[in-house]
Amino acid sequence: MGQSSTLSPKVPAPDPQWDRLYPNAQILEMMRGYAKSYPDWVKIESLGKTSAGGDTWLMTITNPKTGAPDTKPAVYMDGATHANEIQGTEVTMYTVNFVLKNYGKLPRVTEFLDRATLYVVPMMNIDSRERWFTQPATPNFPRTLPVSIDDDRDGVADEDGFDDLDGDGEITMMRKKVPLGQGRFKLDPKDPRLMVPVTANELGDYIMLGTEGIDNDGDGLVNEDTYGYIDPNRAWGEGWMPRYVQSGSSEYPLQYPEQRNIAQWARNHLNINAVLSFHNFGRYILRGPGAKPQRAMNGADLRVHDFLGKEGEKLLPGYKYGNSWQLLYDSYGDTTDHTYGRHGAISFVVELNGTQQDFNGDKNVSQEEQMKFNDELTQGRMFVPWKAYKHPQYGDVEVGGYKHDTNRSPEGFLNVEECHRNAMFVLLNAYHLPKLKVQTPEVIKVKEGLYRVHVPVLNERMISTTAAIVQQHKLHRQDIATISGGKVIASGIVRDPFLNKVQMQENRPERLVVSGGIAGYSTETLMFLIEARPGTVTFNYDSVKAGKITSTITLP
Amino acid sequence: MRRADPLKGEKGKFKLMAEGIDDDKDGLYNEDPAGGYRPDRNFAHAWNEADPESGPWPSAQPESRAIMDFLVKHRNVAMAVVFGPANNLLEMPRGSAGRSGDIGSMKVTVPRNIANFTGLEANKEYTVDEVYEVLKDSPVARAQGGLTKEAVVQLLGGGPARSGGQSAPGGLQNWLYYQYSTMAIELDVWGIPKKAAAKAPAGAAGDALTLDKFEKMSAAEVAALDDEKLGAFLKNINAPAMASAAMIKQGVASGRMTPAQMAGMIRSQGGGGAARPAAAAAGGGPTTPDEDTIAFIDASAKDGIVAWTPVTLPDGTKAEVGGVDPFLAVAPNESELKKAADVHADALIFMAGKLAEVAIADVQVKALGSGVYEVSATAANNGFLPTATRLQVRTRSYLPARLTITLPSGASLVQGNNRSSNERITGSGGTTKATWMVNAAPGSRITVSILTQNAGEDRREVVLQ
Repeated sequence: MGQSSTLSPKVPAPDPQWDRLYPNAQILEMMRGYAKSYPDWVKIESLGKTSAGGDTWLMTITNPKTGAPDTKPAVYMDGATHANEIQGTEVTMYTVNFVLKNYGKLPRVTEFLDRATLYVVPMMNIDSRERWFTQPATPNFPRTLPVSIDDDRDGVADEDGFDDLDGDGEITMMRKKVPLGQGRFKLDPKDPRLMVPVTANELGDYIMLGTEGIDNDGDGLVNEDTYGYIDPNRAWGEGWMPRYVQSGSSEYPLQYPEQRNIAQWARNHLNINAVLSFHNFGRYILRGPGAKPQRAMNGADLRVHDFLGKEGEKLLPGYKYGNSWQLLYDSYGDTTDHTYGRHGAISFVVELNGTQQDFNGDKNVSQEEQMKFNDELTQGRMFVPWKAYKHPQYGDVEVGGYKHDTNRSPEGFLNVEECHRNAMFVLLNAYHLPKLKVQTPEVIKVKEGLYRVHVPVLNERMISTTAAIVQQHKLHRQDIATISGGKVIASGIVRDPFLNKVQMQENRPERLVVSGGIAGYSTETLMFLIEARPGTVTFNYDSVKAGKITSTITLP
Repeated sequence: MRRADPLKGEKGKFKLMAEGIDDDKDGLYNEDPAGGYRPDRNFAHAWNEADPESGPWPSAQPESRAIMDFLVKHRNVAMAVVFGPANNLLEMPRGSAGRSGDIGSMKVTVPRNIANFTGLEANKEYTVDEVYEVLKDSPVARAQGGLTKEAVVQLLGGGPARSGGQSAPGGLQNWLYYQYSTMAIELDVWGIPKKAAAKAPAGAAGDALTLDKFEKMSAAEVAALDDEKLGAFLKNINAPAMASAAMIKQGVASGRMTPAQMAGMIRSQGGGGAARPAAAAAGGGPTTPDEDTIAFIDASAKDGIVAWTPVTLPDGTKAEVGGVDPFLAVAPNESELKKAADVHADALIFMAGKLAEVAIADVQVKALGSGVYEVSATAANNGFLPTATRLQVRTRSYLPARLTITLPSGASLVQGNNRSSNERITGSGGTTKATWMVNAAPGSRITVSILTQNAGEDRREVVLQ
């Protein structure tokens, strides 16, 4: 089966550096490179077109010799739901690179690709991510789907966005010097790049004018109707709310193809047990529910999330695990709610990166610390110095500030560690995909031609073979156990083997429904009363999420 | 078939299910039929995740998406009519939270017998609120611990001619109103009419009290009545639940009502065994929808009801197959349909005539000197309906009504914005107004426009002088 030999590439595999952010074309080249190097192991397909003509690219990775991808339990991960949260893509690609290069070398990686599948959408919001690299941008923009919304409701959409006034390829900030007494800011006496708000009894001589831009449409407002604003992480189908409840929402759930392509594909890939969606910023491992008014997660699934989330906190120092609305804010119709609530997968959103510049360790980054980081750890790479500009509305202003690839995305030397630790969190989820093992059955010959068989089925890992939400929302069929080679007269689930308590199935005993599946690190013992001759019968366990397993039982 | 009532000591003897067999032998009948989702359960408002026919998530189905995609691109839609299973005119939509709509502004007339004891004028038109104000402190209401507006409508002999139902959770009407936020109404076109009331049986026999006897009693005679006898009488005449023996006695003793007035009131509410049969009499009382259906199909369609026939299912279960042809209960015959279609076509034309319609009503120019002019423009909504529903003001799904000024080159505004927005201009002459100060050469032509998405547009050119 080649399970212990390393995976040798057909052609030299991509060998990217992880201290940088890659534009879409390079990510795609990388994806195709892996597919070419490991042809049967890595498949690339488009799940459909996106809003501005891109593709939802999916990579599927598994050992082809141990079964087809869709028949194995799977981890799904994605990056760049928010286009500006750029490095989620690099984390997914690091993970891909790591598992392919370490198959056959590291036993846990080998086990993963042998028994499971990795699905990856590295660039979900692909069109806006492209724009972030190729057009003037900020750390926060562009973020949303490439769809025009008339933000200021004047009948024209996207007519007054940010402008790169000084033509340096960056959208930074504007400030203006005014006569003393007309402003609320002054220059920091120690560093004139920094602005300090004046105290209550002090005169200011600067005003801050916000993000770089002009009043393009002459309506007396600046930058009030920018590119976008449909938030792809408010657009999913579970717990969705319209725009008057939360801004950034769409006209209806999954209105746009970026998410719909994935949701429709996932309906036919119920073997996905774990979902990780990489965002930034703030170092969080978030689970659902996304909003306070939503129903709390049931206990069984919460225990699984809690275990993985708290283990994740150990692998990712500084990261905090919890539900979205408690750690951040209410969000309706977000990724984890949908992939958990509609597809039955254990789901996390990871908010990558946090403050890098907290020199004094007070959990707070002052603008002085931020500037010190810029000056001394990046030698001034991050900050664009203030520069005079003649503004059509504001007159003489200065334009300057932090570049778009700073602060929210880590500096290269920090991104390497960020990628690695998060990839290891993905592999932790992968390790805990349900893993079935049939233990030694107990066979009792009741009389000639009639056997009572107790088959203990163990799930050796943390994630249940069927999440409780699957039953709660009736998402797909339950696990089913059958016997071939004999006629099943009665069957049931053994609730107490010592006191002979069996929960019998009333109808169709030959097709035993294991309602609720097998929880993590536990065993369900299944009872069959079989009419058969001495010899062997085959026990089959078929789980939508955990895959199939068979075992031969000898009847004396 | 009727549900067994344990309070009457009954036990269920039948199971009732749609015709079919347990094909997969799992103990469930017809649990996985052909087909998947109902488009009218798949829209995003109040989507019901527990409904197996609501779809894998709201808006998942191509049918529902196609309608929504078209509508979001056509914001000129000012009103939507859904011909679906519910009738919002017969039953007020309760909304997703199940709250009842306010029927206070509904117009009603007061029959003479009720006018007699309320001081209202007979056959004059009132709103439900007005009648409610008069009745809410009456002994009837006090005895009941309060009166609802719905009870007032019933008291006046109103209430729907047949049941209307509610728009479905995840239904199109709900999405249209709550999310797309246009005026939306769902009409079912036709439904089984209420069964005609049976002729009243003879009044209760013997010396039992009857309404006719009660009507002629004096206040003292009523006061002397045995509570038990009075209670039995009230029950027998199918009096409203609010009418207790104590309440009747108190009402008469206080002089607020004579027995005759009370009898009139009871009759007006359908009690008394005259207008409707007493509950105690066989076949009496208000009819159930099932009874209505059977009565209608019996009368209108030959072979519309299949007699119960014994069958033996493949697993040996004995059953009977029969019942109402389900299609006849939801679809009218040709002549009924023609009538319904005519009524609905007329109603649509009537409603369309009530849509909001904006126009520039007035533009005033005042020369302030030195080429500065004050321009005041007023736009009016000459239609009956407002330009936006209250909900639309909140959802902001449509653009506001915008009053704008267009200047020739060389002219400028002394201050501010060329646009004034108003989320809602009320109907029947509601207005919105804007004033601009313009710096322009005398004789310049400016244009004032009122722009809306679903109530039209209008422009007027004015010379500054």
